[in-house]
Amino acid sequence: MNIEQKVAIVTGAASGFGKALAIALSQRGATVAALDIDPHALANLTATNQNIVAFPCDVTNHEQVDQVIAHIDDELGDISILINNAGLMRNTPLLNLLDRNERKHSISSWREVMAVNQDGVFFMARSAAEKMLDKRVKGVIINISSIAAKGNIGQTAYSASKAAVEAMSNVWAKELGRFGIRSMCIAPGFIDTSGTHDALEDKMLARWVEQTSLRRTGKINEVVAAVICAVENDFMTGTTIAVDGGLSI
Amino acid sequence: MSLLQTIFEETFKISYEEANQDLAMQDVANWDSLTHMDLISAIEDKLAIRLSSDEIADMTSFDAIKRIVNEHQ
Ligand SMILES: NC(=O)c1ccc[n+]([C@@H]2O[C@H](COP(=O)([O-])OP(=O)(O)OC[C@H]3O[C@@H](n4cnc5c(N)ncnc54)[C@H](O)[C@@H]3O)[C@@H](O)[C@H]2O)c1
Repeated sequence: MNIEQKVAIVTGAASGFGKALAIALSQRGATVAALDIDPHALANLTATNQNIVAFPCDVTNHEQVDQVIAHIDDELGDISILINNAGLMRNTPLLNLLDRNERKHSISSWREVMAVNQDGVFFMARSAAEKMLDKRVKGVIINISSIAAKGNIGQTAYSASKAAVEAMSNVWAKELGRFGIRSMCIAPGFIDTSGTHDALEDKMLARWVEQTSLRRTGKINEVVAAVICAVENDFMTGTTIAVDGGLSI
Repeated sequence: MSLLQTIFEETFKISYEEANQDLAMQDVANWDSLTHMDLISAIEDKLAIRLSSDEIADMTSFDAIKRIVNEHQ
């Protein structure tokens, strides 16, 4: 797909990968609908980038998602690209023997992660895919997964949510492929973002880096490059590209 | 207590000298909720004791571990 003049949606666009992706897509000539729950950070992003339009939205709220998708379609035109990037990482073992008050993985943390990472992706995809199909747009849905989809120690909810994302992504590739709509995942390893540093203690991050073949964390632009490649290559669907420095081998 | 020192060395990948000091959780780079599970299972296996959940939660320094293990012997 040629990105120029397409309408692209990026969720979680106010920081990290999402922000970098919104900027990269706009620089390639797309009109970008930037979705996030943080309206102030979105305003900063759009203030300096003409082709990026802010749509404050909580992806865990399916009514809000349906409304925002309808607005984007009305205001910006046919949606060709959906990047499901909004996500939360929480580092919680199933049992924390050191925590007297809450030894078992908290239910609220499980629900919080699943709501954004799994439900949010599902709500966005069903709404955006409906528009793509109705308009017969040969669009693409890119879901940001993680190497955690294979099951990272200490990350029950996060791993489960990303495994769900990869499974849903494959289902959509099979279902929507006949209309020329593609769906696939990018699975980053440990990348140097504020999200990584907020969720992981330094010592835990250092241990992950030790297990990474390239012995470093990745850079945001390395993830962006993989997403752009997935958008542009029309014969890629139902697959997951790992951008993890060899951590998953 | 040399067996405990060996457990500290192997679990946290620290030197013999470090394992010999009274280090607390925050002083040991590798000590978190996951390696704490390795620590507890090594102590229970190698010393043939069974720790209570309160004791496990109290084991946040080498001295505390030595004191609790001593009470079992
Ligand atoms: N950083 C990494 O190393 C890494 C590795 C693998 C996968 N990932 C995945 O990449 C994605 C982005 O990660 P990041 O590190 O850039 O995160 P980040 O925390 O920097 O950004 C996430 C953005 O999502 C937004 N968001 C959170 N909940 C939302 C909601 N309910 N509705 C709308 N927006 C919401 C936040 O406000 C934030 O702007 C996530 O899906 C994450 O799981 C990150």
